[in-house]
Amino acid sequence: MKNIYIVFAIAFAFLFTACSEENTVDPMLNYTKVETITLPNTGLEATVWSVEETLFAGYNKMMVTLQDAEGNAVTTPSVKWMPMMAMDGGHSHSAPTDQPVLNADNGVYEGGVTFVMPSMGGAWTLMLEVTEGEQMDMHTLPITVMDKNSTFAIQQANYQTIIRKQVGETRYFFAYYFKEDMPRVGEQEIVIAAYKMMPMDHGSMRTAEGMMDHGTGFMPVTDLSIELEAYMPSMGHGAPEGQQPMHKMHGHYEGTINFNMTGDWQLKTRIKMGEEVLVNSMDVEEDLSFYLEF
Amino acid sequence: MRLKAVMLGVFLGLWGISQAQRHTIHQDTIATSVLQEVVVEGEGAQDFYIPEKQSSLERIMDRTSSVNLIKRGNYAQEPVIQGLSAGQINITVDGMHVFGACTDRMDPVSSYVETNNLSALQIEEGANGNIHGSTIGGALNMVSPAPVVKSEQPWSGGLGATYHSVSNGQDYLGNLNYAAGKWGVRYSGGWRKHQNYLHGKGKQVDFSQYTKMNHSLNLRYLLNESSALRLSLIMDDARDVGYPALPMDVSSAKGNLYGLTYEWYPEQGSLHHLQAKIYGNNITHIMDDSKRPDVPIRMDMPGWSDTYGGFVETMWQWGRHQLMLKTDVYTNDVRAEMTMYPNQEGGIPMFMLTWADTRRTVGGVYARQSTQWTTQWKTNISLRMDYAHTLMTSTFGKQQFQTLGYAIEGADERLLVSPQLEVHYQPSEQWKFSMQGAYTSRQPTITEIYGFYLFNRFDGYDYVGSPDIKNEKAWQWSAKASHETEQLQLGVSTFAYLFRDYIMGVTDPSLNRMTVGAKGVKRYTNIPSAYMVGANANAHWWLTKDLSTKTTLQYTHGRLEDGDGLPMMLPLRWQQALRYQYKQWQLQAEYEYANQQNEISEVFEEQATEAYYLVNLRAEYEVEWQGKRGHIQVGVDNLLDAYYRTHLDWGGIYRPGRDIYVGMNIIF
Repeated sequence: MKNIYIVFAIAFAFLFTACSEENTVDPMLNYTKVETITLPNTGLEATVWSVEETLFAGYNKMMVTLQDAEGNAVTTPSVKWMPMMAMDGGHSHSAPTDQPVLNADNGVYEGGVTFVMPSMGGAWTLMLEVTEGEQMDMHTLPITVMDKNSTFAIQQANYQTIIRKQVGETRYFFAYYFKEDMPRVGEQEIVIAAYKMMPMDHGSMRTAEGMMDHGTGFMPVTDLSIELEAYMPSMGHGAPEGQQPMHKMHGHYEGTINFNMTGDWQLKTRIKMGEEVLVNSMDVEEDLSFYLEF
Repeated sequence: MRLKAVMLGVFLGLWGISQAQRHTIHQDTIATSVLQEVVVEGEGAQDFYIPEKQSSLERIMDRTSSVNLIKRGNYAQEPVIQGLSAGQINITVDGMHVFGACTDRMDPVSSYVETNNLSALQIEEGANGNIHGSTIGGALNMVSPAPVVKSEQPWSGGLGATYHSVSNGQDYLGNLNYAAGKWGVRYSGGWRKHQNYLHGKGKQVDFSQYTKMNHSLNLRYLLNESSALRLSLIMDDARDVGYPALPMDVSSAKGNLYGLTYEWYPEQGSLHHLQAKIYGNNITHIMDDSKRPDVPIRMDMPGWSDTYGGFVETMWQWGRHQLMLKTDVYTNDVRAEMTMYPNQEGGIPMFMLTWADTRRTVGGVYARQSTQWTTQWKTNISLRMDYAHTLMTSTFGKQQFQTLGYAIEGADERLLVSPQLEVHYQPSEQWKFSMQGAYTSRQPTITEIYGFYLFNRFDGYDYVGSPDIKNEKAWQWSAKASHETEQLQLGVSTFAYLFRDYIMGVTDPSLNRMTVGAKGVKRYTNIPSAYMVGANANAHWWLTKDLSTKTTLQYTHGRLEDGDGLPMMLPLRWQQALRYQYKQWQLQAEYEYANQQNEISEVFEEQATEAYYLVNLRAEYEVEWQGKRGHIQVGVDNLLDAYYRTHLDWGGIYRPGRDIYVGMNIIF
């Protein structure tokens, strides 16, 4: 009888161990570490993460995790970031951002940055601001933003990860991302982020006071109608239509898209503001479209 | 087992079963060992269905009275029983379920066996096929030969070879049996290599070549005089198989089939026979287009199918009653991939699962109660029930189906019930009549439920499955009559099917085609109603002791509820053979005619087929030497070099033209 108790005890121990291991799955397991920095004023260590292996021109889902000196996760500070491009010509500009918001489920600060251009012709930095009580740290990370288009197997000038379109005096920027981080086969939620750069203002200019409170110089565009059509160029076919993107908030239009196989996918789009057509690769083959490979 | 009833022999068989004498394993083995050629049960006493000794199984089936072939190439033609095929019929090997691994049906189960590892071909039409699982169209069971166990001559066997001019083809078959008291071992092997054949206008049909190797090993051990164990292994390996009617070929199709069987013939009691079997088979089918010169997209389409199962079959007999009970279960795992490599520079490979990993488990029971009420009247009542559980285990596959608007979460579960009633009437020794009515149902195939963008070259559409598709059902009716004297065997059979929820592909304009050049996408859909009627007739007449003639007629006709034709309906087909036997010589002349087929399926985008006729000539000389027999065979198929295709042939590909063959074999 005693042996039975021992067996049960061992079994429970295994169960407990298994449960414990399940609860300690690293939430950042599938993400790429951009940089880890030590913040002297708050005494914290901050790590910046990205969904993809490299940052690229387009919408990048990014995360920040904070740890104290003992390596424990810290979730009480506020975190902000600001990307900045110092152009070779001497001026600089920022990029549209979704400021990090704490995900209470995993203790990760989640946000996004739409890099409007790659690092070619200048240098990107990401300024990170962490405030804990009265203490604040600001740290600037040099980062490299690649031109993802250059790595695609299919090279087409109109296949983009970010669509930049000048209409009259206004420059529009459209980028896409997937709520599940990475594209996959099946139906999934896709978000089109739409911004316009304020006229005569090349983004938010760096000032002596810093730029955190000055915004980015990019405004979300909230009154567009957007249609998407998935199309596989090398096979010449599409995929069943999903739900067309509708504006949710802050220039983010949420819909669904279907990919019925892996490979090269062009997202033809028709973006209109009222009756004015901003982008129309659904009808005009040469017009700009989103593109991805997976 | 009730066998194909169109021909005269079936009635003999039916009565024979009910009045069967108890027999022992010993007798059984000797009976099968004598047969060196596959016997099509129910096709009558003479082997008109065998054109030559090394003939392929497909050639034999095509010459029977109720099986036809869908031809996509010169190899692995797909059997059709009375106009029904694929998921509508069961194809088994010794009762073992085997499922091809090709999504395009390029590897019917019959392609994984050879004629010299078969002793019999059992063709069971309509509801009679329910013995091997729920079916609508019937069953084709290939029976492997049992090794000789007790024999004065320990070693026996045979060797044969044939050359065909039309494809520069070589066929070699051989078998060897060793009997050692309680043990018996039989090996058979075959090798076939055919190049591209020439059609009736002398032009080469590209991509019609094939090479095939087959090995089979059977071991039998007598536990005692009434029971035995048997181990069966078949290894089949086909390579470089061309399919001219399809955009792809097969670089390799491998099948390993194995089973362990226990047989028991009790000496006393009501139990007449018991057979229990466990089995498995593994099929790997590699399809690609690497040898096609110009394709918009290079593709690899490997497929796998693994099946494991078992059954217990018993036959009980008491008084004028006979009861057959069979329970079986199997599980079949399939997976088929498609990887596409674009031709243009820079394209990246694309990947999808045309059969996402899916496991189908089916368990069922079959019962048939036969009562010989009087010497004239007999009834058979049978019932088949199956429970089928189909589970897609691939997350990737489930995500694929999201794009078609389906959220596949649980398993697909189905219950199938198929009752049948037969009445037999034999007013005299010469005349026999029977009628049967049945309600049958079959579960959709995995392709019909979960197939994903499978290109059908016949109509040029991509096909997708429908997870919510219903079972296909049919009310069946058939009537048969036969007459037999010493000089004449005559059989006539008519049949009718009234389908409910008939399954076929229907265009879905909301979906984009996937395959380059495809016309669109079809979803497997239940058509509320359809019907099919048909008739078979045959006559075998001994004009003299040495001269006989055999006539076979077939006809099917079917329509959907909207009046459109059912696809793959064979027009009137007439086969006539005249055989003359003189001493060691056997001479045979054959004539085959098929009517034009203008009743086509517009939904399936069929085209009308022209009428054709063929003339074949054969001669065989038997040699005996020191107690051994040998045969020398020469013949001409399609003597007039007709340029023809049947209505079941895909892709507008024409069949072989004049083929002169020379063959010989020796049996020792």
